[in-house]
Amino acid sequence: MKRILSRLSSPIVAALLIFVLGSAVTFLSWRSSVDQSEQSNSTTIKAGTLDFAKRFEGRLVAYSDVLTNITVEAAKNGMTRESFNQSIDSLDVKNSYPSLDSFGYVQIVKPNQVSALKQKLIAEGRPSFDILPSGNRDEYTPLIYAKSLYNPDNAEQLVGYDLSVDESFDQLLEAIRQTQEVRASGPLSITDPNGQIQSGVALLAPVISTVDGENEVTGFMYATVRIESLSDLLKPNDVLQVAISIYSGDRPSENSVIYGEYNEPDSQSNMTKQVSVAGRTFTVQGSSTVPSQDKSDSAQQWLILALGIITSALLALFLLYVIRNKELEIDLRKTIDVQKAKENLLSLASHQLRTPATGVKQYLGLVLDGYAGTITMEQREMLEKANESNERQLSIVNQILKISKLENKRISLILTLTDPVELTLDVISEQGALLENKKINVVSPPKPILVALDVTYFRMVIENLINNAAKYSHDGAQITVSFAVDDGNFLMRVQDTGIGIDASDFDTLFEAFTRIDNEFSFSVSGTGIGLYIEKMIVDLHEGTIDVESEVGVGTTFIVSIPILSELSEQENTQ
Amino acid sequence: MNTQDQKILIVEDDHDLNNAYCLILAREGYEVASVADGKEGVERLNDFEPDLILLDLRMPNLDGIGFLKESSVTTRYPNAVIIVFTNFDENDEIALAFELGASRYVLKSSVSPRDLVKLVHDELDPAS
Repeated sequence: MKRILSRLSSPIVAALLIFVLGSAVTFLSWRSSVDQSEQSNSTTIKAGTLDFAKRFEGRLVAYSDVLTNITVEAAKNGMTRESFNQSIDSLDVKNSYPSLDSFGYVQIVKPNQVSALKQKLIAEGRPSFDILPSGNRDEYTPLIYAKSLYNPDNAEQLVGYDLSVDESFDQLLEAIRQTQEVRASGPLSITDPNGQIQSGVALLAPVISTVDGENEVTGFMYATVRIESLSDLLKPNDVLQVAISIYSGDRPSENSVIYGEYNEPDSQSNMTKQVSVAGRTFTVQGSSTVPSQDKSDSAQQWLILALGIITSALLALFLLYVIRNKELEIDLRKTIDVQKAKENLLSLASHQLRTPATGVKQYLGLVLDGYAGTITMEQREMLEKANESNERQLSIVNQILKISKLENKRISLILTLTDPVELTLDVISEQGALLENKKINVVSPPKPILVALDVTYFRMVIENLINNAAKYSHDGAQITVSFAVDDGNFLMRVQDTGIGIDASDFDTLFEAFTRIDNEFSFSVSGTGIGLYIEKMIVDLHEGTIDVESEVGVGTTFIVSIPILSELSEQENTQ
Repeated sequence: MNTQDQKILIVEDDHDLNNAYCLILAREGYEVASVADGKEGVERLNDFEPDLILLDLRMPNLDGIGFLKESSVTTRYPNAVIIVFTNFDENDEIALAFELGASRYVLKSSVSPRDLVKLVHDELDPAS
């Protein structure tokens, strides 16, 4: 469990989770948006279609009722030219029923009634009335009166025409006679007020009279409806983004369009509603006017999805970057805190280790210097030994603290142009008793050399090299310190004729707390960290320290420091 | 210059070291005053005008840096030589002491009684 939690807390895992979540949210939002859009579209289509269908049906029913009222009057009082015109005029069609185009009265006429009909029509001012086509038929259903509000001549031309000659009309009239209800015809072509041909239907209402005690259809009243004009009047406004198509029949087909465009039925982009009025079924189809998703839209949606995923990836990467930076910052702060704690401990340790030894040093010094009175030789010897031990202890403390600083890279060299020969001579002058019985020779270079050195630390290197040369040599041994410049490097050689170092010990020579076993191991004091410190100081100067030695012959330490300073080079070439 | 005309203020919390330094410098003829912390040092400056101050850094109540800040010694006694006399070798702290008026840093543990006498003598009478 811990491992799982640990893995989950990894920045990469967190970033991956963000990416996955972001992508999932993007996808779901995109999908939801698409669905919502489609649903919204569907809802709009549905609302627009149903609303139109309802109003369309309502209008046709209203027209049917208007005709029925006229037929009731006609049945009661009979239809004359005058009453026909009055009935139509009273409707104020142009204002109240602008989609109604023409009206007509058709009468069922038996052969033996034709003569009386003609007489009647002649009296009404139609002397040339005749039933067309002529010929003997069992009965006739001629158009007796006609009125077109927009094409009066056309209407007049139709007067006398026997509708039953047309098979479809004959069937329609027969259906009306059977049901005694208003019926609508199939699609007609009607010339609209602008002279354009549009689809329409005719509504026919029966004139029902009582003949021999029986209700009998004696005629028909019709009105033609311009479907396009009616639909334009009723169609949803553009805001709703629904286009209406009307088909004659119970399903959309290319051949049955009477209004609008044919649209392949598609539950996503359109819906249909059947409207049955006056015995005829119409199909109202609502379609979205919003362009259907084509390839470019699909591509756009995929592009949006891709952008969402890319954004999620970028967000995840950004999060990863922030978390990693934060982790690094925390690690760094921890490291700094640890380092600070170590430094504080070191600082405290240095002070605490040195202070008691300082007290011993002062009081031994006071006694040795006679502050407590005269001391015997024996007392002096003992006190000096105590002093030496104390000095050794202080030296060890100082060296350990130096190592610690060097290892923790707390040392920053302060480089100054230095004459290494002068520095060496100064160090030699301070060695005092250590160099007694040794012959020390400093070989100056042909020309003075100035090298960028940290005097304080490089002094330690020189001190240690000379001390080691002296400590590991017998009395009378020769110690030679020489200097040179070679290929951009300052070279210092400290050569002795001491006991030498076995080649097998070269590898461990510069390790901390390592002393080589030799004849001087017990007699010569040392902590085994002198060369270790030296190497670190030389490394800080970006130099190298090497050793050449032969047991019984002597040892040479070669320190090489790059002459990095331009000034050093200028000075050295003058 | 006659050492008897010269005054040395020792600011050192270690009682034994304080005594040792007083003994050493008094024997050389210097007029020596000693205090155990920086706070006492600030007060002592009201009636003691030192020519040289041996100043420890780590002390209770008020440390060496605090003493330099609060005493305004460099303003009050601009000729006084201030030697940071400590077993601490923290560069930052020493650098700050120098900014506040110290002119020398000496590692206490490297100084024997003779070294101390020579140090003070060299600072107060460099010509000799």
